[in-house]
Amino acid sequence: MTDHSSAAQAKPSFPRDCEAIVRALWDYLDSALDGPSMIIIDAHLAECTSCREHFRFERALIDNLHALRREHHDVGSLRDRLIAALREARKAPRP
Amino acid sequence: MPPAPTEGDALRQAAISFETTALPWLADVARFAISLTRNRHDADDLVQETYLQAFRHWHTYAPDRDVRRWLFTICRNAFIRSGRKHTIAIAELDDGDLDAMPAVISHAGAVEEGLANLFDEVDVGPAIRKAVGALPEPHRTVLILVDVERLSYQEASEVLSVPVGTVRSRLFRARRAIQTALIEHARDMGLGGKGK
Repeated sequence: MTDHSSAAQAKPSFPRDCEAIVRALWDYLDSALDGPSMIIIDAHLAECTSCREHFRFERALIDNLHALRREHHDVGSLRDRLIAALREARKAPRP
Repeated sequence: MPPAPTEGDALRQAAISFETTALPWLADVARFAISLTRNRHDADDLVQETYLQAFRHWHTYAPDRDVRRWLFTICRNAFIRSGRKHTIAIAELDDGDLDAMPAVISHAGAVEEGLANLFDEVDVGPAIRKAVGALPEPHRTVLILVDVERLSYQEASEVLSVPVGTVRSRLFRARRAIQTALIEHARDMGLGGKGK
């Protein structure tokens, strides 16, 4: 198991295998890597406590951003306005 | 034998099809429009223009296409065409290679300060909304498309007509800015402090 938590200084250094993992963390979270790369990172995160902590933090960040989508966004009046505009557009002769 | 459908019938059918297919995405398009215009009034106008354009071109819409992405593209193009004078903070267009390393280093520092459980200890919602609102263009729009609306890099690149690498670098910069703002917010709330 790799553990580099003591390396968390202002400018921490990472073991070579961890460095490649953390560099690719966002691509991994976005499923933007090829299959073998995803598998390698899966395996590393299963073993490396420190990288797993970084992964959890970055995933929480992205999950919280996605949560903005669930916020109530009142489009009721906009919908009414839109439907009225669409009906007008239907009445207008086509160009 | 039933009468042949008239042009009016066809138009009514198209309107029904459009309303049932495109209108359910109104909140998504409105959210994207606000990310472009930064204010609700202009965003509402932009959404209306988007839907009117979409309706006029509904006959060109292929049913197997992702309608939400199609609407985002129309919205983005309508925004550009509108030529409205917005006071948009334009970020430096540095599309150089980026990765998650700076964010991870920032997180490592936050852990040292005792902020490892930031998301468990703080209601980050208000701080995230504020930080997203403060993001400069074009970073904010990319973040909305990828992180909020969950488009892939490729899909966002098609909506914005920019290369995938540009989406990626803008997204990573935006995420890093949000992360930095959240860590500062936690410090302001008196959390952490171990490393000071």
